[in-house]
Amino acid sequence: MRNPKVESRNPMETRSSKSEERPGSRISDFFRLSSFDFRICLITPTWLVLGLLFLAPLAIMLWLSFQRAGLYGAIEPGPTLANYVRCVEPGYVAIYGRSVWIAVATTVICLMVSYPMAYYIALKARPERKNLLLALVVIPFWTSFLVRTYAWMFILRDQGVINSLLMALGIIHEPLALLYTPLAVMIGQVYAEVPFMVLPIYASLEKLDRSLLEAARDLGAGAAAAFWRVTVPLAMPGTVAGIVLVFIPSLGTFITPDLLGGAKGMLVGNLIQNQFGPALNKPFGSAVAMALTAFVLALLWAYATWAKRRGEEVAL
Amino acid sequence: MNDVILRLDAVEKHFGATPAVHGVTLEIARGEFFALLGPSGCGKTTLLRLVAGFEQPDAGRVVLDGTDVAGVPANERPVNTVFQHYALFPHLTVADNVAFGLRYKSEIRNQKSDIDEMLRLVRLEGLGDRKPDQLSGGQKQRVALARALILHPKVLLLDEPLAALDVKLRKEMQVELKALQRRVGITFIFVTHDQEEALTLADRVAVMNLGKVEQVGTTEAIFERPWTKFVADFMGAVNFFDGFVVRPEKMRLHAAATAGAVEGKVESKVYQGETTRWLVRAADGKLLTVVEQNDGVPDAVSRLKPGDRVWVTWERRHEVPMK
Repeated sequence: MRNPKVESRNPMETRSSKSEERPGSRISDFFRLSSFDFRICLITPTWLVLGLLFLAPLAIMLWLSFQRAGLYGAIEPGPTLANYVRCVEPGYVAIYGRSVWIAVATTVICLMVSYPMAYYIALKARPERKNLLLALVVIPFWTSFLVRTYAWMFILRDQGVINSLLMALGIIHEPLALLYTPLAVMIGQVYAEVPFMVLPIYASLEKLDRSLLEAARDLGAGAAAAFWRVTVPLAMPGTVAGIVLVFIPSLGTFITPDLLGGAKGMLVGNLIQNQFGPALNKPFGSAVAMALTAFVLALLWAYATWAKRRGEEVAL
Repeated sequence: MNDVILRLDAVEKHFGATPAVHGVTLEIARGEFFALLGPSGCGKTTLLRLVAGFEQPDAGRVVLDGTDVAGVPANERPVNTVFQHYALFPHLTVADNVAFGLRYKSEIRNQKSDIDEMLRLVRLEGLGDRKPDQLSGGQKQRVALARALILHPKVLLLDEPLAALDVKLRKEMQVELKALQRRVGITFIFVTHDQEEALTLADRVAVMNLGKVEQVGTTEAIFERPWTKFVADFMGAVNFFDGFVVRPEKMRLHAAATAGAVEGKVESKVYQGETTRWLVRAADGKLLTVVEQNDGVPDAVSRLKPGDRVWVTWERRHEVPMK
């Protein structure tokens, strides 16, 4: 199976072999060709996975979003724009607004929590401690996300750890309403996403040349000025990666709001899940999913354009 | 020296149990081009960092232009550094790199023209909009110089300023650096492990070993009249005798017996272009190094091969006393 994308690399191969042409190049051509075939073998699984599990479902959903929903989940042939028109009804727009708000808040809180953590591990911790600290960041992944979210239910509910403790201490007499609030969703979401923010920021801070910070101090910058003028801009690729890695899943999350957010806490992720599940309306669910995807792509495009205009490296 | 810009007074710095700088006392005059010379690990870079303010001394005083700078952080010292690998800010243009420190110097006005003038001074006019990764090694070096000099430091510190450049460029930059220092009149203190570079650039040199200053003096004094075996050896005077040392290029080879000569056998000869370096095993087993200019040597000498008998002479006035 020869993939056109892979074949399109062929002219480049020829060019690079030409530039290194030397006597006796037939043998090297032979090896080059065989290594080229070898590369196709290596890339094939990637294309299979991407094609079957990512591109094909996306194409199916795109097609579905233009079909009509029949009774009991049947799909009737379109094409129609009705699903997209329904997307912008006020009730749904409120859900998008709430989703964006929660995703933005989650991302901002994650950033504020993760930056100091990453900074400490990368620049302040003793070298022999770094691996331990990084392991502590990653350890929660050893437990299923679902289990961890259930654990938060036990912590946040009326008879949960927090309320029992506060009542035992006599600080409150009625349990605080923590579970099934936007706050609970945000706590669960921040908890789940922090490692995705810490690790890329850590990676870019770790690469930071310390002599640049000394140079900044040497030229008269105080500690704060050196941080804002040198550390922050140079760690920006990792920071942007972290923001993207946290914001996008937060925008589409459905487990956290389902378990911690209660009935009124529906987010766009739940809306999509509902359409594919209980509501038996795959075309509408697909349309919402496509709209969400388009929204995220538009955001990324806007960022890339802005970054390019500023002459910065685009890390996406 | 009545116009001292920097005085180090019994400065001590330890890292753990190991002394990096041990009892260093130095006076450096205003406008001087001063070299801290020594092998790696001799404490020269630590000394530079003590002056810059990146390290604080455990004991002793660093007095800059009459003021003890104990406890003053790097960003408040009127001293700037050219770092070994330049430490240019990769996210900023050349002009922004040069301008970086200006905002902390309220007395400097008219920044745009200052920057342009500084770029012209280091021959980087027209490159202000480049990013550091678009520059050659020599150009980066000049940006680092401009970025520091624009702040008019009382002392400019240079950490192995030319070590990252290739040989040809290094020679060019040596000349340029010397000329630049004369033009701006700022005191330059630079760290190097390269004795030739120290001799070429500096007015005076402090040779350091194991955290201590072994000898301070003019380049000529250091080269011609070393005080200690270490300094003599480090400057290439390797022919040690009882009570004196003779530099290899002050010795002569003879193919026939000569009055007062030390007799020996040629052990090896290494052609070095302008010179040839001979190793001669004297009759008493001592190994002597002799450097002969290739144009002034009699044929009888230049034809000598390893294993041949040879006679080595030198003049008494070239013997440098040494305990």
